[in-house]
Amino acid sequence: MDAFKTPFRLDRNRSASIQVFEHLRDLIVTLAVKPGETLDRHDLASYYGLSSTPIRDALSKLGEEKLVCIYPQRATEVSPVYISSAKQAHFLRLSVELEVVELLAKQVTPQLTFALKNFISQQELALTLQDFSSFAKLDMAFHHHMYLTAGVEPIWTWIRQQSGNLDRLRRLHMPIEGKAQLIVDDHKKIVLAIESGDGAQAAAAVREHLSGTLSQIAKIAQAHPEYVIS
Amino acid sequence: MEAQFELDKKQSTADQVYVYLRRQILNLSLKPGVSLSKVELATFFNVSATPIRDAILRLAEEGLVDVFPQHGTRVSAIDIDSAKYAHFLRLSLEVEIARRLAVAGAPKLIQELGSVVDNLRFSLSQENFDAFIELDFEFHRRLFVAAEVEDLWQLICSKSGNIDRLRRLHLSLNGKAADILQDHLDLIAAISQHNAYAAEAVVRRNLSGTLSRLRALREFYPGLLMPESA
Repeated sequence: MDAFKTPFRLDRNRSASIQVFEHLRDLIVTLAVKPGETLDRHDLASYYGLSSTPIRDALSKLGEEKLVCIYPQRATEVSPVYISSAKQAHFLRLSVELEVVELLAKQVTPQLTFALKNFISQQELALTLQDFSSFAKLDMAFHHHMYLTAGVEPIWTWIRQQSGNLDRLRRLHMPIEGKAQLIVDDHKKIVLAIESGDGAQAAAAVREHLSGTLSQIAKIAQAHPEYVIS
Repeated sequence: MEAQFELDKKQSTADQVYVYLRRQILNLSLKPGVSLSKVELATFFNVSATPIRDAILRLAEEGLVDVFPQHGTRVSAIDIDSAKYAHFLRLSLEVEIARRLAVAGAPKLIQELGSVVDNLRFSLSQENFDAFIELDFEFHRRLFVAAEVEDLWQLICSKSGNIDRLRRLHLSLNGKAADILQDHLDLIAAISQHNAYAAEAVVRRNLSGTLSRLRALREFYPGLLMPESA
């Protein structure tokens, strides 16, 4: 387990099981730990320097997000990438985001368009600097800001929690490098439509923006049969 | 709780306690503010303290009970903010589902829904609101299944404790149940005529009622609803 060579630093002020959950989730979603790999509870307990209870709680939460398979009395395995779960997460995100941009177009303010355009300029800067890790974070921040402004921030969190398999699938597919410019262009279209108060146009732009992933799902599944379950 | 409870030895005790309590809370047999003593619950269900604690924990995660350490547990007041988020989530998903089913056509679904509506009509004529609610859920669940997004129905159920309690209050008001029945008939018609616009409009009408009647609900049921944040 190469992913577990770097020492882990526990923050004593936060729940241990949540920190383990977040750390493991990140390793799984970024494919640092691959589908099929075994997660041994004793190894994990000694790696994190914790008792077995927080480990068990963290694994059980990962199980709820369909990122690990827990076999009672036996080991826990990183689950294959479930295509059906990824498709449903995509459906969820698309449906909510259509509704979000239609709402924003109805109640657009200069503050909103300023904030969104600001994210886009930062993304363009990150792109020139070839800083794709910042680019990906700004991409998330752009979308997150729309949920926040629409007054439905908790739904953003719910979607994140449903998206573990979709995120793994994206990782298998294409590094963000290849599509960064497209993402920026799509974001511009969305903001333009919101700014002009055109909800239908904003919805169409969101549909186009999110359609790319879905059309790739079948191709990705074919390219990585060893990781994927439909 | 005057109703009977029989434990099924083959299933998880905590699950059964959770399902039972959840139903009682959602149908308002257990009203907001009622205190739940763990000792009394253990006696009622005839089980040990652990499954009771697990079940209460899950209900607390869904915002259906408030746990005050050292002071016991209470059925929570209906949280309007949480109801609004759940409503937004459900509306987004059902609008997209209705559009897609109308475009693609769903002859098998139309037949199934027809028989659910017959049962709805019967339960309405008997003024059996508990049965009516169960059948209404069944109607909506089938839409999700037909659109191949059944996990998202589960997601909605897990987030809807507060909006479902509001709907239950609303249903007892005059005429609401008859409106729901008509909405269902209209949705079936719109899907079978491949009319995506009409299908979307029916979904919006069907789901919009309860939150728009907040003021009336507050007057009819003082003390059950939490104040909203600004």
